[in-house]
Amino acid sequence: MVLAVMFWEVVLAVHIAAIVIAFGVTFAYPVMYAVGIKREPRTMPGFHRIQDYVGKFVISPFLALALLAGIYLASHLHQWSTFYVQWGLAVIVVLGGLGGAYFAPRERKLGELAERDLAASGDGEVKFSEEYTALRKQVELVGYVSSALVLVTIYFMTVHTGA
Amino acid sequence: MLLAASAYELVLALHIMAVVIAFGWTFMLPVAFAVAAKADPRTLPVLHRIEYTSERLLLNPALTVVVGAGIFMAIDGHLFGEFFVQWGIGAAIVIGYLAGSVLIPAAKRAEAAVLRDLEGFAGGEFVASEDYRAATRRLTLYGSATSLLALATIAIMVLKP
Repeated sequence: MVLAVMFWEVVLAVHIAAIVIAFGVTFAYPVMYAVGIKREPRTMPGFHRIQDYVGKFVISPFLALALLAGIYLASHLHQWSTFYVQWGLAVIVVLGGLGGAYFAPRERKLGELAERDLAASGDGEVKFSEEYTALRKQVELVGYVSSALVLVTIYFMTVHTGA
Repeated sequence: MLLAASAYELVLALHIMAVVIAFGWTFMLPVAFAVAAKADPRTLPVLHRIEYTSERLLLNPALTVVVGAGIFMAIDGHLFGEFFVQWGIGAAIVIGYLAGSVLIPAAKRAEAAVLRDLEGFAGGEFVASEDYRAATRRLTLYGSATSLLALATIAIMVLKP
């Protein structure tokens, strides 16, 4: 009995740690963009490559871990009918879908556009194209919305809304 | 009432949000530096600048919120005698100290060293100097320790031993 209780608490700790690792990185992207574009625009293709790898090797696996731990917790604690569990499940599915179907292809595209614009700028001052700037702003905006969704979800999960 | 919550619950939510913002980004650093070193070493100096800028703009303010919210909850719940609260305060002090006195200066040293190493670099295999390798060894050691401490603290906060 003690071990059973301990185990779901361990799973809860894993769930929270996975959320910290999966989503915390996205809060640093505005800093990356600001510092990168201001200080060294020639490194932007590298940043977008890093975003792509971070999406694949940090965000996706830990998102999956958070989901699995959440499913275990909802089943073990009989919480499937509560609002906060349904919301959390929906948000993980939405964010996972956005990661694979929205962010990944656009980050690769941003990398290609940045490479092209750098080549066009030659050794002179870097001038990014309208296409690159518009797409980067769009990706940044969706990133802000995703981060806000993460914070709202943390609130619902913490106060067990609807339980 | 869907949005009803006690002050304690609100502050707990704030506490967890601040933990996500303070520590989450640090876990991408190994991937970021590995990709940069392999694909384009010219990205390394600005990555170190991002590293210490994030420590200033994300880690330090968010850590302050973590501690402030934690102190509120410990007072509200009369929990100062509990091990998990004492551990949490200790961990926050250690992490704050490491960030300010080890990680930020080491990231600045690494930035300066790799900038020197990249002078004249025109592609091909990048060979880092001993100065840069020493700075990154320090960053890896203390950065990993900070991340592990953050994960251990999350476990202790949840398990409340």
